[in-house]
Amino acid sequence: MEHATDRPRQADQLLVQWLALTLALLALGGIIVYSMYKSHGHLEKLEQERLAIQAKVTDENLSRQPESAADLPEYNPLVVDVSRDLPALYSEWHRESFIVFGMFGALAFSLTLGLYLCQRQQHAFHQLAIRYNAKLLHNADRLKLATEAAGFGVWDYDLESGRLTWDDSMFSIFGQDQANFSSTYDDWRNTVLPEDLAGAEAALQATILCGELFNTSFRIRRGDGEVRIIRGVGRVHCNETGRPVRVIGINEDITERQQEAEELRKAKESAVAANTAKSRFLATVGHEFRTPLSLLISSTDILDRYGDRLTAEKRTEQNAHIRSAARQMSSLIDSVLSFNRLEMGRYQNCPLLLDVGRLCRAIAEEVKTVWGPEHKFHVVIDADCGTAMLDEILFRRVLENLLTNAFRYTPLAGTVTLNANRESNRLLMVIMDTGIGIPDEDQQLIFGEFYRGRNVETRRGLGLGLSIVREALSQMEGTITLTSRINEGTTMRVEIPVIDAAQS
Amino acid sequence: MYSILIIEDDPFIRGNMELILQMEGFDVHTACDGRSGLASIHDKRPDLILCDILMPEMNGHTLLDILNNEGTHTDIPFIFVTAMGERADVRRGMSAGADDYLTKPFSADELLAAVIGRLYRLETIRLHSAKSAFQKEHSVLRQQISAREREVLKLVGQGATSKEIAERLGISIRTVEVHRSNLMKKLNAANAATLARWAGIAELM
Repeated sequence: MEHATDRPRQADQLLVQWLALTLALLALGGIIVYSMYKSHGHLEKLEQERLAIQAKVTDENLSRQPESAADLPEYNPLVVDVSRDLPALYSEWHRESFIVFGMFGALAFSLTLGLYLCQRQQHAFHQLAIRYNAKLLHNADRLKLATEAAGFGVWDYDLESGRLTWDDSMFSIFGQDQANFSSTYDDWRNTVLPEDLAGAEAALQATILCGELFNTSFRIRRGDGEVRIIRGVGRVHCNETGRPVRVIGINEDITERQQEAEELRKAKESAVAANTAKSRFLATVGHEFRTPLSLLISSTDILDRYGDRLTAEKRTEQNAHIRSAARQMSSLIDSVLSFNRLEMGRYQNCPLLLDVGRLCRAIAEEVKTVWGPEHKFHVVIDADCGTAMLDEILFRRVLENLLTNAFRYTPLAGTVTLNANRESNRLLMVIMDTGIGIPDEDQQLIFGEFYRGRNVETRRGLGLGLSIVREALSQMEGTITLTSRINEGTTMRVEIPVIDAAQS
Repeated sequence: MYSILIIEDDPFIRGNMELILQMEGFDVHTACDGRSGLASIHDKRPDLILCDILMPEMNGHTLLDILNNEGTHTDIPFIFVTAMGERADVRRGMSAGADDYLTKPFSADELLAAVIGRLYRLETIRLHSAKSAFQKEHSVLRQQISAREREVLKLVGQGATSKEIAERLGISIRTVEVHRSNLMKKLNAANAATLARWAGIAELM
């Protein structure tokens, strides 16, 4: 703006110089009229120069619209050294005098043209100044609008005076009162959480000292005590000697964005984990089916091919294999389905009056046939167990899974024990083995689905058994506790509240 | 009589593999994990090893590595039996020097085809040095066995199942079964082990 007003003043000076030149020439008019008819060669040269200057003014300045003050050409006003040139004019005395009239005509024309040009130029400068101002205002408005819309606050830190300037948005972002603002670096520093301060200040120093782009995040405590995450971006400005003098930048509150990003990341992680668990589960299910299928296929092949050469005993054994394979597969399917059903909370607990002792023995026998034909197995069912209102499916799931585990994780030479007894309205079952045990660090985790103890090695299993037990027990309002020692064995204690039909 | 060592931790599967191979006239030994399998190999060198991959104590991969390092048992045909069916795992076994693999579940036919195929190859190598010693057998093959039967015999030797032979020769499985039983009768081969030996001799002709 200041530059734009300088220019019309320069144009005024140009006009004054022009007028002075013209008047000087008029004062010498008499002599010139008298003697100039021979000197028109010189004046003509003078005239040519002037015209050239005018042409320059016209072409370069008026024909295009200058965008900024720097675009305007410099002017060299025409100066005629009269003391040097006039003697030469006198010596050309004998030239024809009518040229003088032409001279005056040209002079008058150039005077008018000069005046006109100066006015035009002044007008152009004026217009330029208006446009320049308008543009500045416009840009400032736009910047303000943009920073407000984007939720940016603008800050300006003057390194020489130590003065910190905030715009209105900064105060609302930081929740600070303008009245309490002392315009110092500490106003900002005091809001930053102590644990984030070192990082933020280091970034600022790097910007000031190394000229790096300031781009960092830090947490602040707003005036109302709320903690927010702020992102700051800024750039250092240096004076002509290259010394940093100002840092100007923006701040924005990215708390919500950060939280959303965090939530998205968590959601993605859990989706990926669920998908991995599902793939692993499917692979395990597939793997688990192969063993009973192998048994089924090889046993039927054996009966087909060599049935007539086998002893009756061997044939019975093969039939038992086939039944065992079928039972394994059916229990696998049951595990998968019941896991799914219990997990979805769709299963309804429907208790019926059952003979507890008989049910326990039946389950024990089935599990032993499939999983523990070579183990020692003690089943002690107290006669007091009697009858109780129980959901057979849920009860089976608990006992079947616990016994299967006991056999599965106990070496063939080991022993598995099942004890069941009744204390009025509580059914107590203890399943004990002399197996590999459950590591201390797994004992809490082992009831989670797909979780398998770290010492299971290659033993078969889906990692679902205990999670099914847990779910089934929770439906029956029962509880389970375990004690276990590595390579000594595991004891599972199950307690289920029961009532007799009479009480129901 | 060929001796076969089965190393498999599942007692039912192990028992059934043992029974099938016994019924086919092989001398079968068993072990329930890699460690006792290795002991058995050191105790009595088998002609062929069938080995599960996933086992407690010592798994199949480790056992094969040990055998390779020892160097004295690398010529024993080694067949992996795997329930995993994962390509990467099978490839690892094959690149470590296993000769073949069987994926659970497998039929008796597939088990025998794999075993005969590997033994036949061993037999070919063994017999090659004593080609002239089999004049009698050659004349039996020449006089009594038809060209088609010889083709079937060779495919049996290559470890093809009846289904595969049927596909290869463009005949029905039933016809293959008839050829097989004729071959067993003509060659007085009571079981798969003897048939593998005959397939080896047929290859020499």
